[in-house]
Amino acid sequence: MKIKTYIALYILAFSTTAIQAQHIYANTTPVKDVTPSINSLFIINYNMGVATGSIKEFTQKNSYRGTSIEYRAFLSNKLSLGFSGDFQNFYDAKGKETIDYNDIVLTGNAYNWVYTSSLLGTVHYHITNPATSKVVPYLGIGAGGVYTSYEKTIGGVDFQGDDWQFGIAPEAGFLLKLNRHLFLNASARYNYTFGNDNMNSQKYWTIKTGFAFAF
Amino acid sequence: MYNIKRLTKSWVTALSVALIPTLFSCDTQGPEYIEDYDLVTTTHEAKFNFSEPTYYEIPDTIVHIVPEGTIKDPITHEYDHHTISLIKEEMNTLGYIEADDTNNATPQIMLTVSAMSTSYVGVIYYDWYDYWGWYGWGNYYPWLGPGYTPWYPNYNSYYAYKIGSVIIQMMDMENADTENKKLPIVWEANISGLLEGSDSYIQSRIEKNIPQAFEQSTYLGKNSK
Repeated sequence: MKIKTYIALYILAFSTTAIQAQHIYANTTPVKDVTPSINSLFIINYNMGVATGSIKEFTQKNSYRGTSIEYRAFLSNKLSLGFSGDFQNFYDAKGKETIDYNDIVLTGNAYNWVYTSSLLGTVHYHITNPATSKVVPYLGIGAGGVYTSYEKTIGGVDFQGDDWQFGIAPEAGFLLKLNRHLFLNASARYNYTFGNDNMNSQKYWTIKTGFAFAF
Repeated sequence: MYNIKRLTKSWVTALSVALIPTLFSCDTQGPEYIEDYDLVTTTHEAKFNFSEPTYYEIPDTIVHIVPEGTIKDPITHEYDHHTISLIKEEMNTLGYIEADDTNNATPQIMLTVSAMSTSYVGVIYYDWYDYWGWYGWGNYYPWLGPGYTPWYPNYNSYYAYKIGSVIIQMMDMENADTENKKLPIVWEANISGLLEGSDSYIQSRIEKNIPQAFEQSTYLGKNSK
């Protein structure tokens, strides 16, 4: 009798464990995520540049000539990896200027340019899901190669110095949904390059406005 | 189901709006008018003491450096007198005195004025200085003769001469290299493209750029250090 009781208890315990296991297994079965999401964004911007540091010393004016394209591939609803290509042209008509170049003194109307081009790998975190939100604030950072060229023309004589540097660019902005596949984009990006033997550190801001195409 | 036609229309509109300022960003600006290309370049011999000489001489003609085979000189002589008068005015203001019959002085320095009727880049300037052979280096140095050529003793010079450029050279006549027949140029001004363009432009640009050559050469003058 005692043995029968033990067997009965054992069977009951085993069956309960089995049922529990079955229950746990059922709960861990992957459930298809039905949250709407976008796969990627292609962005084209008009850029305004705000000169600081060496660029400001050379041109003293902000730039209204700039453009950028950007691609973001979404790893999740909010996180994306991508790249951006930027071009910015700072320009200043300096008027009459006298310079001393290797003991040759030159006077003429001077025009200064700083051209910057960058190709950066980027990562962005979107605070809301672009697929479901009307307004999508985001934070991002880029890192990669930055080409900077300083050019001066004085009386038709050109002086030029350029170099490639490694740069980083933190960014904050937002997307405003116009329709399911189209957003307005606006952001502010701080561009910083690490100086080397040929060129010192370059710093400037870009204010971007454009359109983002969602796929 | 999304309306493809509507999607395409919105994308094309957005791209068009985005591309207008993007195309605008390609405009680089820069010099527009002839005077924007005016350039006054000066060089000098740092070892020369410009406060030492008192008397100077300057021929009353601008010699045009015309390429061989040229039938019509593109540069006018109309502004020779005005240009040379301005140079004399600047020299006199700096305290130098023109050697002439009244003071019967021997000039220590000579200024020559040449104009380029063609463009030279990296030119060997000795070639065109044979143009000055007729002058015989003035009334005061007949022993130098036409075989002498100016040279730059110890400094950089600017070797790109645009058409219409006026070159003023100051030579140290007291230190001619008699062995090699060379006259040391102690100061040179190159006023690029001065005699190019319309008449109204040339007049005002001469009056602006000739004084500029002297203004930027702060070492010139009897009171210079």
